[in-house]
Amino acid sequence: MAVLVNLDLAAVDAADAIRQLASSLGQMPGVVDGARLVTDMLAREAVLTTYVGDGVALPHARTDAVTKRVVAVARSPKGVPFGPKGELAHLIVVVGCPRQDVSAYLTFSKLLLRRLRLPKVRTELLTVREPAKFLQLLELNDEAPAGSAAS
Amino acid sequence: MNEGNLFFLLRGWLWLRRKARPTDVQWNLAMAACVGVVGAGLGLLFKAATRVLTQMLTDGAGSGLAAFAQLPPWQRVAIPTVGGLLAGLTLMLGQKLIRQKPTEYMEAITLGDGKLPVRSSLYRSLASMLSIASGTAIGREGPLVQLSALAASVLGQVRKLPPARRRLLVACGAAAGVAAAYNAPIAAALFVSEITVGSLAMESLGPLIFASVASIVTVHIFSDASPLYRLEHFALPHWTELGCFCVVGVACGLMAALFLAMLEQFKKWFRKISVPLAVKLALGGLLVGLIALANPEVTGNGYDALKSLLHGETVTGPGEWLWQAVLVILLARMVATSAAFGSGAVGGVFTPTLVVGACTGSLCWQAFAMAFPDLRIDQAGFATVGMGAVLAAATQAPFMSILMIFEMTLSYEIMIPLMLASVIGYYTFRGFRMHSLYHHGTPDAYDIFNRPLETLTVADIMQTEPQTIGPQAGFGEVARQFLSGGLDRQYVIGADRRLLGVVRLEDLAEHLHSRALAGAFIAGDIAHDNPPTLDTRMPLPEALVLFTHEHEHELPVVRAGTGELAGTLTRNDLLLTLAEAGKRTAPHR
Repeated sequence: MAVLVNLDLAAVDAADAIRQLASSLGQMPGVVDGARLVTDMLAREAVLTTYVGDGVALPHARTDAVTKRVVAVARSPKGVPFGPKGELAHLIVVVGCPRQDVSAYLTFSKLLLRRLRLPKVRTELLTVREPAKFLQLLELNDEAPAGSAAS
Repeated sequence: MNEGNLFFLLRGWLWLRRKARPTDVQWNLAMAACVGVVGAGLGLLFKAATRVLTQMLTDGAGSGLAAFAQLPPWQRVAIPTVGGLLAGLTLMLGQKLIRQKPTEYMEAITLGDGKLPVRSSLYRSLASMLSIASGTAIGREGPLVQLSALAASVLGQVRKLPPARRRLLVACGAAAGVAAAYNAPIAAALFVSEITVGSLAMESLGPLIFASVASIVTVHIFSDASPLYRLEHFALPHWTELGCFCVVGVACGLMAALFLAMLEQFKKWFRKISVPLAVKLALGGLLVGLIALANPEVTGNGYDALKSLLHGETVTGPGEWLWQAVLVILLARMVATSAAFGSGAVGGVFTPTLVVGACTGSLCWQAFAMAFPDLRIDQAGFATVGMGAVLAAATQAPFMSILMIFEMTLSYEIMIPLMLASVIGYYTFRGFRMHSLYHHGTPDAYDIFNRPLETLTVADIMQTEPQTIGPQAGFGEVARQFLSGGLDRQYVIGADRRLLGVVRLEDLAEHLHSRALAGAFIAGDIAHDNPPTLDTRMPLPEALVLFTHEHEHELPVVRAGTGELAGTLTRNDLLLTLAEAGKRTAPHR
């Protein structure tokens, strides 16, 4: 699983953030249709917000645009208005997932959110400087080497 | 309900389901219990209504035999005649107003595919109540069982159960009715499984037992329920005496054949008379009334006569019955019940059959007592064994009969001679190649189980109205549906009801521990896409193959061509249907 890291995301709203992060995934192995990945994710976000509280958002989509799971993690020091009442998200994880991959997708999201629920982990995530350390905190660095910041 | 409580509940629910792994089989149990309670309640109501009606007809003289014995002779003749006339008019009116093909029954519950005609069953019950209340020599248990089965059928249709499960539920209703009527829950469950379902497999026996128990408990709460014919002082017979019971068995087998032949013969005679049904029933009532002039005990189902036979209470006080008296009761009962039944009165012949058995047993005892003066077993013992043997022969269900008599008398010592005579009676009767009391008439063409197996498709046996959800529904709604519906699958459908995917309850377990995640997910996120589906036009063997490959206990059914969700089919329903349809195509025994 390839993971992109962006430690300095600046976006005006959720759609903007998703557009930036999802399109950064366009060149990743496993993505067959980068444009479709972006639209599917925006469509999914439009149905129900993926803001989960505590400044964390998890935009996701199960889509035919990818053949394997792709992930981009981002930190926004300023925050992106994400929640239904304009709550600011500082930690944003974007997940694109192949359609047939339901249970692995759920397990992955669950593990990720379990880490993000810990206040200590969240505090550290907001302060670390190295992408590798960031991924380590999220326990995402067990596979492929972390990519560098995109934009 | 806020989301927090909702997830807490759903988590508990999931835990329970994981531990207990309930499938539709277990849900059947819950419904069987409901049917049991309702069936017993209806039975009690029917009994009470009949009693009130009798008191009105006999001018408050009491109930049952006592009421008729005290009546002046002209009333003994008039009341069954008028009752027959009224019952006949009810039937005629019913047939005219309600153009529904009535199920013909003696006591047999034609389970069919579990759809009993409601309105025609009701007017027939009313007619039956009139016949019984006016003293016609017919059993009240038949309509009682039918009413209970009817309630079950209505429940099955309201819950939109697929045919196989609806049928099982109706069987439960019948079992509840029998349990309440005879105060014999064990025999009730076996009665239905041996005679109507024709199988002792746990899939059907379990719910039947549940319904029986629920029914008997209800009866115990609302009325005094003691064994119908408790038998005191019965000594275990000496082995030499068992020979006598073999003779009883043979005699009872012969008598059962004679009784059934008489029932058929009277039916034929009455069919030849071309008068309106009401006149026929009045005629039947008149015959019963005429016999009742000399023998008031022929009125009703014969319960009182049985009691006095078994408890050694003669007209002149406690003691043994003379053979002449017993013979008169036997003949009068056979003619009276045949007349009532043949005339078309709606009712059962179960208790009358028991009377025939008790009389036969008594007569045998008289013969043996003369031949062997040191015979230790009394008349009541022989009468009891005779009841079982005639019942086993006439119903062709010896196992049920043995247990029924055991539960009615609660005497363990009776078992050995009872088993012996019942089995002998059963085989003796078989020699005549006659139809048993519960032989089903012409099969109903609408009953899907009677159609050739090759013509059945998934659409015929599926459950319609599956639990569905839109792809954009939030997780909270999914959870709420799982909690209220009690099912473990939700089918995600798009516009024009096209099946998009399936949400499995077991998948949600992962989410429930992370409430935040649950808040951010929708049905579409957690549904499995392109689930294996059955097609409405698919033949059943093909469906079975798919079930074998998929390891699923339930599969969605889509309409051929359109992909529109039409229903669901469970593996259990498919197997029940295949078993039942297979049995019907097998040659009759």
